[in-house]
Amino acid sequence: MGKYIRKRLIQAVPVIFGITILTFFIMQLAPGGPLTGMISPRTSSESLQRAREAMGLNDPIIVQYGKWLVQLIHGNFGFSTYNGQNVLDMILTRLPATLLLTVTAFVFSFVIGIPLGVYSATHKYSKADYGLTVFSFIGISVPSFFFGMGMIYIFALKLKWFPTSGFGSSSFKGTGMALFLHRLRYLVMPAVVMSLSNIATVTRFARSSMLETLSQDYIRTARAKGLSEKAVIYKHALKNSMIPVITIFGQSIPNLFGGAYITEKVFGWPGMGLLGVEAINNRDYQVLMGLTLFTAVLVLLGNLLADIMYSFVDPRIRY
Amino acid sequence: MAKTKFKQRQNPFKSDAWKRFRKNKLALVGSAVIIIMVLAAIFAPILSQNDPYISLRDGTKILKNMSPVDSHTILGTDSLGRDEFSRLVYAARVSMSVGLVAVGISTIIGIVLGAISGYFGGVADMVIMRCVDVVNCFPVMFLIIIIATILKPSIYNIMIIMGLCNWTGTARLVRGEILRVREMEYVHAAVSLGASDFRIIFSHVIPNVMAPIIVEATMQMARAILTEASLSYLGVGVQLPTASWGNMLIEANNLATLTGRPWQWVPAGACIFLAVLSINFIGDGLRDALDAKQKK
Repeated sequence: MGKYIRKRLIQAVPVIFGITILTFFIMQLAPGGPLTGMISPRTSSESLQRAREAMGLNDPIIVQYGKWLVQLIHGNFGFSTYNGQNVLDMILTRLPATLLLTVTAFVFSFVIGIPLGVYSATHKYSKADYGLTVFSFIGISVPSFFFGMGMIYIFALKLKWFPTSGFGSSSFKGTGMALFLHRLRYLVMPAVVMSLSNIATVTRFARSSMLETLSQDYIRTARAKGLSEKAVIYKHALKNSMIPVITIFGQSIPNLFGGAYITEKVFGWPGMGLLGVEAINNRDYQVLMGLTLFTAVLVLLGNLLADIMYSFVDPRIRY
Repeated sequence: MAKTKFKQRQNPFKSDAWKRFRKNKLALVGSAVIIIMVLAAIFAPILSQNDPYISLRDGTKILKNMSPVDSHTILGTDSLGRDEFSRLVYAARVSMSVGLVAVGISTIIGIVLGAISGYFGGVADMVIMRCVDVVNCFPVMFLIIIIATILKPSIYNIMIIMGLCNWTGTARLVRGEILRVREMEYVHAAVSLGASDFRIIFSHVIPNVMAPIIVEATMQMARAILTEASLSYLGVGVQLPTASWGNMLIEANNLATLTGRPWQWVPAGACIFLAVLSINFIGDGLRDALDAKQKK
């Protein structure tokens, strides 16, 4: 176990370098290149020349990459080309809202997707199974902004169950539980929209995994010794069939973050996605770079965590 | 050998694959929808009564926000008085060709890199697979958005960028398939006959792993149309005034349009949804028909 985790951690190192190299070269295409954006815009014009030299804008590209990496490690993600703010600060202020949304969507995907998939598998070829299959096709096919607009149209404007957009009313003064319940009304629709395609994916995956498990010999043994169907499914099959579903954990993280741009724009949710949309409109490359790099590292950590969890749950995994 | 096998395949409508495909009703419906959409895209100039880029006028007054009940147009006009239906069929051209070219690029990259990785193994395999890991760490949307913003969004840039960012799935698939067939007898036979690596890969191995590649490309086409729509909606994809299904939904950001003028956004959204759903159905049908066993 320890050996596997160590090996997996070592494998992640070249990937981290790869992520930074790729980002660095993408930023080479931007006007000014990757390093210019890291000089604070508050630097006075006299010291600007010195700052540029210190950054080594005339150095060979490998040296530039090294210097850029050192800046990153020190937490300098550069300064917004639009308003001069520190990019890392901008991201960190937006992070909680995005995490709240993605974690909720993540929980929705598995809490809803797994039971649907299991039901579908245990009622194979029934009408419900067929319906769920069509549902999962619809789930992966519907454009999230169109779905979001439809939700706003029906549930916010016509039925008035939920507010159209935002993160909570500014006039709301409550704290604690009251604030949480207040936020919850704003959270429901974006979380549903964000999780829909993931629910569909999890449903299909859980279904095929459950079917595979049900065809195993030990299930036949369990049935042969006269166990009830309930005991066979919930005591013997369920746990084993859920192991491969963990691999979907890792895969769904980039999907959820990628969906943040759209969902947060449609619902005016003040997270990293909305920050990205503002950065697109302002052609703020430095903020976009920060966001891309930041999410890439988050995804890497998420994948690592999923793999380690997998090795705990399924001790057969050995590399 | 390969020649005779190819001859047997000449009439695709008599093959087993077609018989299996035909049984999948959803795939048939999907094919019908896509054929209609492609025809509409090809014959866009004939189908549309009005120019998609010109504001319709009544005398000097622009016919803005006209509802579909009026007789001038099929689906009414948008906020600039342009014919919605005309824009919709012209947008079909844009959205589908972007998807097609992007998937073409990513499939070629995926096949080449996957083949190198699977066939040669060793260092090449390790380097390419680590590259796959790196690209997979980026949410594709983030990656495409930053490159598109830097390079100035345009139809051609979007096609290329999407192609360059989406090859990892195909590469992994091709690698796995090649590892599977590499040890088969016909490959050993080709090696012993002295065929070059290039020849073995592209005329013996790839044709035999084509089925899963076709299925993967179909599924990717669905995703590509969805991605293009999302990018255009965010303003980094196809740029106005050129119509794409995605950027036609930008109008619905306005609450008055969202509630009061559904004909300005529902048809475009429905087209994206129908196209993507139909292609996914076709992909599913192809998977069963070509017997391409793969997960997901």
